[in-house]
Amino acid sequence: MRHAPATPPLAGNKKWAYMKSIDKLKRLTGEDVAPKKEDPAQTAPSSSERQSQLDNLRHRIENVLARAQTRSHTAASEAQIRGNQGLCEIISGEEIENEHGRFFLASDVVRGGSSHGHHNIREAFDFDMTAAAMLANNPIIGSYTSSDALFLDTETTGLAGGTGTMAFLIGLGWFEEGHFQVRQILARDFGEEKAALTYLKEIAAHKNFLVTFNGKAFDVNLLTTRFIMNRMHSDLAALPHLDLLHPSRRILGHRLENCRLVTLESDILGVQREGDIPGWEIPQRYFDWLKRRDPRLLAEIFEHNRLDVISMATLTAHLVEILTAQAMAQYTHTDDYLAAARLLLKRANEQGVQKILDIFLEKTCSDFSLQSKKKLAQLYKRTGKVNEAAHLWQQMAACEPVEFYAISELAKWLEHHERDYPQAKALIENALAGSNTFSDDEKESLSHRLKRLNAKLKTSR
Amino acid sequence: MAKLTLEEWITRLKKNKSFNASAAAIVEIPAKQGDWEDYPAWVNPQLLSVLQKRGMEKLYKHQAQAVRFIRNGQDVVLVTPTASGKTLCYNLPVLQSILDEPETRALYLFPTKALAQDQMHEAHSLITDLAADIKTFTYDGDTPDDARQAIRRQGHIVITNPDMLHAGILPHHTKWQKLFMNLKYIVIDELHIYRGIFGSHFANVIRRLVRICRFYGANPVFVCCSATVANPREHAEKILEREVALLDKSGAPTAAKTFVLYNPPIVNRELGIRQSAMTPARKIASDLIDNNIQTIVFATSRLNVEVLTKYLKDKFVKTKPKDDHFVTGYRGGYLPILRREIESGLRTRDVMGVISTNALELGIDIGNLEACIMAGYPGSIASTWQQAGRAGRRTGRSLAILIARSNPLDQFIMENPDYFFALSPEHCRINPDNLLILLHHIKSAAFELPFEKGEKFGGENLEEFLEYLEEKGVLHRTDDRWHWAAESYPADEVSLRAINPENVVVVDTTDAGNHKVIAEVDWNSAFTAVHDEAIYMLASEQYHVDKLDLERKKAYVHKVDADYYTDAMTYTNVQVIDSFENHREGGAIVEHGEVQVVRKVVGYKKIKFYTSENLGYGDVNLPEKDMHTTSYWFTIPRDHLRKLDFTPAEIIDGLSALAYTLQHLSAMYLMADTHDIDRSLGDKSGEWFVSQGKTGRVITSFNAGKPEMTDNKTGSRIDEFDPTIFVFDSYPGGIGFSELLYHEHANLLLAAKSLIEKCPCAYGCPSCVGPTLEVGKTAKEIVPKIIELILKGQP
Repeated sequence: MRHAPATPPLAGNKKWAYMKSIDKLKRLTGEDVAPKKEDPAQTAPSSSERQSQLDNLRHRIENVLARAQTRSHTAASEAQIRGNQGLCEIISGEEIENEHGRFFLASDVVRGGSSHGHHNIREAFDFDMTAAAMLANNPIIGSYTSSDALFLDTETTGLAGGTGTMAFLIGLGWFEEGHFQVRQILARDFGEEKAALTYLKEIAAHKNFLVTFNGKAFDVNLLTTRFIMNRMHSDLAALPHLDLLHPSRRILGHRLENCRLVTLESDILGVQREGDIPGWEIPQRYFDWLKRRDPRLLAEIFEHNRLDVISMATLTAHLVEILTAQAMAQYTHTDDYLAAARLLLKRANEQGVQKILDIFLEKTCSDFSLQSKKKLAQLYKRTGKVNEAAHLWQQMAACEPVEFYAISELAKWLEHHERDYPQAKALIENALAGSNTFSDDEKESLSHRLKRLNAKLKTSR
Repeated sequence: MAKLTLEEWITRLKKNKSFNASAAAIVEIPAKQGDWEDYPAWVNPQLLSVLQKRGMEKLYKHQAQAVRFIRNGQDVVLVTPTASGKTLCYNLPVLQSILDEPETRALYLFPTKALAQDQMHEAHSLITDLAADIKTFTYDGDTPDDARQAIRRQGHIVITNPDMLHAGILPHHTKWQKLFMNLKYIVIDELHIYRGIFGSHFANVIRRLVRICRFYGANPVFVCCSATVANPREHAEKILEREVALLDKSGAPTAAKTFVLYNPPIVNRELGIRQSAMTPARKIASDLIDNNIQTIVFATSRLNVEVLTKYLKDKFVKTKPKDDHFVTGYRGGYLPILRREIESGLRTRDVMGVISTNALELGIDIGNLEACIMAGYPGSIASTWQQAGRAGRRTGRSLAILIARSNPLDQFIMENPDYFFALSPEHCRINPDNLLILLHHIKSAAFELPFEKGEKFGGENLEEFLEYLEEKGVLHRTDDRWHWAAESYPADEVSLRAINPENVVVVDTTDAGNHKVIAEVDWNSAFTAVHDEAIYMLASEQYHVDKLDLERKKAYVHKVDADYYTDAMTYTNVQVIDSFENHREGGAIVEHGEVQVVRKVVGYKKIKFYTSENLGYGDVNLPEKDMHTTSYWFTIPRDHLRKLDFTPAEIIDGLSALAYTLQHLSAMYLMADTHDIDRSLGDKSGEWFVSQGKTGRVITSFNAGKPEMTDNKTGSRIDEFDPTIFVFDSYPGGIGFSELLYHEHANLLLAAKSLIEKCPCAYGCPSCVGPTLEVGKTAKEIVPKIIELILKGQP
């Protein structure tokens, strides 16, 4: 590569030639001071003399460095041991060993009776599998039970994706005898990844489908990459998968500022996190842990991940409740039902839609009911199901004081679709005479219609 | 008027006196017979019949040879002219292999998206005829997201570019598991494009690619194709870091060709100014097209393409008013669909004249044109032959005319036609171990796969780099592996093609309510092109730079109509850090090695259009730029220079002029852009250097790192130092040009001497020693004497 000078060097600073390439690099990147000029008064020794001096010096430096390195290596491994011990003290869990090495496993059981936001775990447990299958748009899920679900959420060394991002913490959860089991697999270092992934595989082998939040685009993709990088085979990506992000956006997105899990928690599930670590801080925390081995750096990440996993369980229950028309009214919005009905219509589930409709029948004339009916009716009308819409209009027209929307839509339907002019006439006359909320314009519009109906009635006679 | 055939047209041309007066050479290149061989016995019968139906009854000898080598798993580099059927050399073994073993995968790399598209169409049409279930796709920035997954899994032949491989494929290699596990062939076409900085990056991308292949247990065969260069095999081996068989004897027949070197007449002898190359290009092209001779014109810039296109369109609009494509431009900025239209128009002869940048130089299929005009030397002999090869592919006669501009390179060719027609002297040079480039790719490679102790990557000590990156907190070492431990995506931090990925955008504020980005200037040029108060020129519009905001990387400009342009004054100070090799030759000490270069823009001159009058000066306050790089230099002891019968000021002017000539000739020897190389005149310690000041050349002393730019009239200090001319790589860390220049020292100087002596100008001109205004009136006289002194030690 670099040629040694063939003739004795004429001039110049010879230090450069003997520099390690990394020092040259540092100079190139400006990390090193600018080259100093040699003192001209100092006579340079001949090159062979200097060479042997330098060799000698280098040898000595290398010896010193080697000693320092052993020392620092011992120091590093001591810190590692201390860090691992500390971890066991502040997080309830243990070190696990398998054929590929060790890792740390945190375990927690959320008892059935304990609550997470508006829900308690036992309520969340027995969700309707047909509805869950509908949410995932994968009918296979309908044939499993809620205990077959594996809730999964990872914490990673970055969001950039690609092969250089690792999932260092894999949070898992599942229902078991009315309680919710949480396991968190931590690779305490890059070297523990294979053992950690092996454990994940073992647990996944006993479960039939995955539940994640944005896992299709992120977590499962990333884990698939990690399996390949560790030369392992994995069926994770082939498991049926309910990714809650998409149905959440569909059903609840209309009233949320964004569709992040924390937002859903605070606005929908009633979960308030205190002192939660912001997601963007997580990768650096882990890098700091790798250097300093202070377990306190990880404690908040464990808690953050644990809450994510539990929230996924209650979020699933909540979405299923909306879809099956069983949600607690005080935490549900009319539009949620409307969005759910729309989803069900899309999946051609008439029964489901009817069930949602039935909720509104119970409290026939509440604002909540009227608004829902209005929106559903509009939806029906748009999708060409005019008779279903008319059914709703009739219900609405029975509520006093009557609203213009229901009366005018119903009148139109009677006039143009049913061609039942007398009944249309009677409807408008009764509405105008009775208790109503009509504005002057609306009254005029109805009177106009009435006139036309009268004319039609005359000619048909 | 009856139309002439090309044959008749050439005969008429040869009789034209004024043309002959300007023709530096007219060379007849005879036709060559083809050399054929039978297809190998293993070729699938269906594939054989498809190829034979397309008129390829037999293989050319070189094709047969290549196909045999590739089939046997030998890495090869093919160097044969345009239209010699290189594509088939790899398509045949690749398709055969997929037919044999349907899981087989191949990766094709092309330097541009347009070439990748072209290849995809070619392979696709073969496959369609073959009626086989073979899928071929391009994969680049334009590939829609929803198509990507299918391509990764199902594409048998994936055609992409190095940039996409670098930033899109390798960092996501797990998604390409299927491809990498079954990868048997990697084709690298247009290998000669990967030289200099781009080539140095590219070699590292290949290192990463090979590393990923190894991870998946694949050991693909590399097939490289290149235009004629001096060192194809060495170049391929440097890029692939393995032995490669060279196949460079073409068996394809070639048509007879008339090759003309045309030097436009001098219009101003004083200043040595020649007629613009555009004028004869326009005249000759319109006459050829008028005679129904299909013609391609290569211009050296996008602007020139537009100007020539407008001239020629205006001329033919009378005869062909409705046919908008009869004469057309072609360049990178055109939309793909328009380009496809033009390409097919050329094949069907609906387009009779096309004016192009070098975009059409590479292997895009445009059929057989008859005449090629190059308005300006394309910068390398390889490019010249590639462009000339666009006319006349297999039979009949063709014509190529190279029209010179007034720069040293073009003029050197005109003065030395023999040199030009002799074998290509150009070398492709790369330095994959440039420390900065290497560092970027070690980061990217670590992101792709952890490094293991004992692993090799590049020619430097890998472990030092890994430890360095560990120290920086980018890598984390666990046992004997280094893992990527940062949130960033390293491949995005470096662009393979630009010297510095940071660009300055030029924002036009003429319309206060509607600021527009009109251009991008690379970081290095920004200091001289868009400093405060500069006049920035774009598409012949002038813009005044109101503010260069280095922090935000923006230059704010507004449109003006000024009668002057600005020329930045910079000083360049070079200090030797280490000499790798040196020897005394004649009257000079010649060396190459590592140097530190400090550059600063200190001011600018306002120069009036047409008269070149100096209208005034301004100061510029920009930070200094400091870089370590490699250089070739030689020092002439001051005692020797005293022997010359000139004043010290004249000697300094002469040395500056010599440096100018050497920089330009070096670019030619190195097949590099003149911007990749820079020059400086000073002394080795960096204490003195010469620069262009307000009132002429000044010598500046550079003491304790602080320049004192006193406007000392030249020469008073000539006795204080031994002048040294540096020609160095303009890239931090160097690209490895300097060693080659060191060995070419004597040839370079002889070439410079011959160029200057043969130049017909009176006192020096941009074609030889540089503009008289800058180098003084005696430069042309003194430079040959200085060269004598350097080479022989005697004046």
